[in-house]
Amino acid sequence: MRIPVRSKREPGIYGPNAVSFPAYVTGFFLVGMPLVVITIFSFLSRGDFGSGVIRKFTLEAYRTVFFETDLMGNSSFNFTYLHIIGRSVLLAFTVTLICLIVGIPTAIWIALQKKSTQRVLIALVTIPFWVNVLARTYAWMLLLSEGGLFDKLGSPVLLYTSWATFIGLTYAFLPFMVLPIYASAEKLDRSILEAAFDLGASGWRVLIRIVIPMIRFGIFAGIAIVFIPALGAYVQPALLGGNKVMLIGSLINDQFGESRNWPVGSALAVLLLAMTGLILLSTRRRKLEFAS
Amino acid sequence: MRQRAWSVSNLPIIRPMGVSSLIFLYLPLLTVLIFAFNKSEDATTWGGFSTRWFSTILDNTDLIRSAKVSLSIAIPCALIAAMIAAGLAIGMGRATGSVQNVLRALVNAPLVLPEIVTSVGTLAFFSQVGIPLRYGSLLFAHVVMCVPFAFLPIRSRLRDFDENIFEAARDLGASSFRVMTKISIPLLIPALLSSGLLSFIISMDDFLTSLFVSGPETTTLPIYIFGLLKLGASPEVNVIAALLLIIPTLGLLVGITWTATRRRSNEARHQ
Amino acid sequence: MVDDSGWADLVISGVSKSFRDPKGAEVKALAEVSLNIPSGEFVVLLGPSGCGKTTLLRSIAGFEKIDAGYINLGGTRIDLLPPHKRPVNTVFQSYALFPHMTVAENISFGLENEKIEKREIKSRVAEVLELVEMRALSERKPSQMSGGQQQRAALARALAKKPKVLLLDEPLAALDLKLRKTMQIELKRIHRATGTTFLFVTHDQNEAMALGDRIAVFNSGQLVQVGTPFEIYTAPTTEFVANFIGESTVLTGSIDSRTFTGEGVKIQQIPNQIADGSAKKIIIRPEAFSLFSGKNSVGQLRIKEIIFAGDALEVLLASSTGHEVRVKSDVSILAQLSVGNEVELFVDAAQIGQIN
Repeated sequence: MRIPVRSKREPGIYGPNAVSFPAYVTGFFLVGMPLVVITIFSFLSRGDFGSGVIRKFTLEAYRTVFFETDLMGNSSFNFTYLHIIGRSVLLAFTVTLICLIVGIPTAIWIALQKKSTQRVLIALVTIPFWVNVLARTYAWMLLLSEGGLFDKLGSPVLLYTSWATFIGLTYAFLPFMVLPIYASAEKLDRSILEAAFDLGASGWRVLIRIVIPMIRFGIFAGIAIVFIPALGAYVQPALLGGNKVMLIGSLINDQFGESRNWPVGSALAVLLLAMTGLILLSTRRRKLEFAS
Repeated sequence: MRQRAWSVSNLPIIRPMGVSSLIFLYLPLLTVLIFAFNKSEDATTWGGFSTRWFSTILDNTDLIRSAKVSLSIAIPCALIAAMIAAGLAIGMGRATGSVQNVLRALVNAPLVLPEIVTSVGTLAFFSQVGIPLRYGSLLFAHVVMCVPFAFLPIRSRLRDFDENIFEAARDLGASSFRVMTKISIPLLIPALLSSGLLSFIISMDDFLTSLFVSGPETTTLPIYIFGLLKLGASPEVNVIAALLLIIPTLGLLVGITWTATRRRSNEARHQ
Repeated sequence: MVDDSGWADLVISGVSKSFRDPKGAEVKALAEVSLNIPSGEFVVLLGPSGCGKTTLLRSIAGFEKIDAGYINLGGTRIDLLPPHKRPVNTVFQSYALFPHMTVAENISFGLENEKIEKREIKSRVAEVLELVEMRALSERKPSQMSGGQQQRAALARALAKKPKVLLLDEPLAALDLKLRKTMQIELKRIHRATGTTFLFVTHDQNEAMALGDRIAVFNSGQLVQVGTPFEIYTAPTTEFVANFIGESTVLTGSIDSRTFTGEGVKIQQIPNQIADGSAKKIIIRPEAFSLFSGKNSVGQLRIKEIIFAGDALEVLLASSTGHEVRVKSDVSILAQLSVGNEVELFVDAAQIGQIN
């Protein structure tokens, strides 16, 4: 005797399924809908009095980002916005790279300590992460300003330059890089390293051929969670860079504030969203390659 | 401990890099801490030890008001976010429906999306639906931001338990509701506390979402401080920054010590 | 739960269940399994890991939904009920005690789920604690007990519900050998004392032999043989069963006028129940053979390996075609054996069985 399969839904193992409903409702309305709304806004026209939009479909916002039209009506690439986007990508890339160079050895170093030391060191890496980002940014204002510690030590005054933004971002996101890499390095089987040394490999070879490949998923995760927020950063460029150099975060902020062009702001946000999606996909695909 | 054939120093650069990282992470924080006790009127030049600037911030009514606004959001936000996150972790079980996967991805999206995108999105959504930018809208904007973070400790604690425990409860005749109230929630209490603490700190710290979604009467502490920072360094800001550093750090240290003692006493009991 | 023995037979009929492996391919965990278990019997589900025995147990408990077939208990179909509505209880391999509750609280949890009076709960908790000899530890938390004690607590918790069928999922696997032996005897005592149907999953054939009134042998999702331990051991119906339970020599060849020829050996006086024919498989247990002396000579075979097992000798012989023959012998002949020499092999033909 055969009977058909019943509902495929697993009964809640920890409790009724229904209690996850509030999370789904808030997720749908307060995360999903806003993403839909800005996507729609990016295809609408600018409101008459600056703020808001009027419901008329147009590609104007995207055209503004990519092209400019001269008095004769000829279109050409508008490099102002493209420059800003390119500069933001370059900055985020450099920050990620430096975080990698510093973060990978740091995470491995921590993971190879004994357990109790590991806990202390991880707490030390985590604490700055919980200190208000404004306080952390301010610390660098204090160090890099005219008359600040670095000035007194003879360094040029870096505050309100791109260097300051770069330092501030690296500082803010280094813990983001160390933590996921540590999480995979901690699972490293020490006997594998011992075996590599036993087979006569040099320290560098063990690091590059054994350790780094084994912690690559931590590294991919670290790249994603540093690059993405660095790309959309607002606080550090505003306070340390003095908003002298426009980046995509401040540009979006301006479109929703001073410049009052919500469609353009939305179009920029959609572009940032698309870039985020690309990064997430490319760091995740690696995992699938390994699995198959 | 057993003597090992190799030591950490066999791997090149990891020790110097690790030590430099810690210096890099703590040098700025120490500077802020020290300069909060600076006597001088000049924020960046050391003029001797004094606690004089600490008293001035108590007279700063704008600062106090914005701190109250932040607390009035962060406290309920922590409670609501921990509850919603616990509901998600408990209710989703091992379910793998595709609709649920999409919804869960949305709930977790604030973890990975640049905050500037979610915050302008929220502003656009509120304006489109006609929700005024008041206390409630800001509170819920904070809640959705905190839920994915609050979810992490709860989920990982649930995963730590043997799934058979929950099956055993069903097997012994408990409805799924009773499994939740008698087994899941009691076992989750420590995780719920860390979720709440996590959400509280995130809400207190948040700047960008608050910047876009707050109205005139909901100026939070970070928004107020951002305004001050735009004007540059000052002795008063030194003190505020130092407090922003000390308070969560102390909170964290208390939390870490508490879990460490618990772990130690648990380990002792297992022996 | 009312004790309606006689009506509490467990009937498993045509049960199938498939899973998807991580690559998405379908894996049949149970293929049309049918099994009748009369009330009060101690049945052991035996098989290698991944053979479907645990899936069957979890399907009866309600943790897996079966794709086809049905499960009846006492005349009522139970496979459509959620786990908490089924009159069966499980003892998990990991014990699965609630870590935040004492032993007594663990046991009363199950009783509180049925609207039972407080006083009744108390007396039932005391009763089962007595049964498993855990009275003194009733206020301990799981983390304060040894594995064996946790095992007894888990057993008590399930028995307190007075299940119609008690499902035991490799409950002794985590215990060391000595404790396992003690617990096996305990389980038999408890089974007799309660009269409950026990359905016990294990991959350990010795445990299965020691415990079961009947053994159901599983292999890759199929129920291959059901029978008493004696039947399973002496008359395995397939080569898998023959090799999984105990050791044996399987020979393929032809039988003609009560003589088997094949794999380089010739055996006379084949029992009458094994019909003549070609491509026949016969199975001979190691203890059916003897060396040097006996009634029915198989001929001279070369010694391949000698394994001293304390109370017995295991001798591996090779036939002229190289086929391996396993012999269990008395240790007294050890001095007469050496690897590479030939020795005369005898067999007690009455113990020869046939497999398909």
